[in-house]
Amino acid sequence: MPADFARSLADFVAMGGHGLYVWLSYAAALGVVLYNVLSVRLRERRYLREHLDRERRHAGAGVRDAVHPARGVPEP
Amino acid sequence: MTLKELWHRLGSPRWFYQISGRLRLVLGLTALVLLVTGTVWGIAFAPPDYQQGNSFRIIYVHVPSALVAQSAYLLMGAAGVVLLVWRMKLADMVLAATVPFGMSMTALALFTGAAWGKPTWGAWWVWDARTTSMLVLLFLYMALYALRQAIPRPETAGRACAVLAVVGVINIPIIKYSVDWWLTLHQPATFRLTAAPAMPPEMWLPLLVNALGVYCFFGANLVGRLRLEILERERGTAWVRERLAGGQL
Repeated sequence: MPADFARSLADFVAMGGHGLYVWLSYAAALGVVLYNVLSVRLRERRYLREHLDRERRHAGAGVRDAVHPARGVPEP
Repeated sequence: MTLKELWHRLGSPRWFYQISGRLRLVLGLTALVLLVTGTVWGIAFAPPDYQQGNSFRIIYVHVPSALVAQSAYLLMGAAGVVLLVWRMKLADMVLAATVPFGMSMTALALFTGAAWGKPTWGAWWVWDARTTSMLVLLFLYMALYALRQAIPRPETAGRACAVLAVVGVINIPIIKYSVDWWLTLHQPATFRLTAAPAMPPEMWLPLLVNALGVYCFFGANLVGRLRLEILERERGTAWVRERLAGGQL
């Protein structure tokens, strides 16, 4: 801890009476960083899942299109 | 590779996808190191301001977010020109990929400005030239987001967004010079190209570190979003299927 906050953790959190404003700002910054990181991550995961589903359907298409398991007729 | 060759290659999203994976990783890791360093330094080790006390520590979030929000808009303006003149696909993707980042950073700059204004000016919000022009920037980002959603044909949407992005660039010098042109409560720029900062180094160095960090973060995030735009627009093509055959992006 630096000189001006050396006395206690409470002083550090209080920020000389400006704690609310300072910590609100840093919390908002963390929120914005997480939003930007996670929105890309989640889109990537969804894209990959959809891609793999599509590939699986492609691979199974030859078998399934011949006779539909439920209806017993070829799919259009 | 000459510049002209690079320019032509940028027309190929596939080429961009292939080279950008490592770039994104390097930018992301650099951003992480810089932002953690600058933030810890700024919040715990920089000395308090002799007038504002500790509330001035908001500067380490406020200034970097405001800077990158405006730079992101300038990039969109440039991408808009490239799209309108050369019809480059990648430019349209840049235009689409920058909006969420820029919008969130503008919102962060406005929010931290309010949180700093309350203890310093006595009000969360003032209709000052700087704050108002920054609010206009947020509305421009929102308009760009809404415009793309509203037009179903991607090519038409891209061109409409390009026009709006280019016209909106006029707001950037207004934001920058608002503190010089009008009498504002907002203080003038912290960093100037022509003069040394008025603060001591132990106060502005963490700010510089965080500013560089947020630009690296912007780079990493933009590349990440661009790669997704490419994958989504090239869905089902042979090279995408081949590339993703290993089950990884």
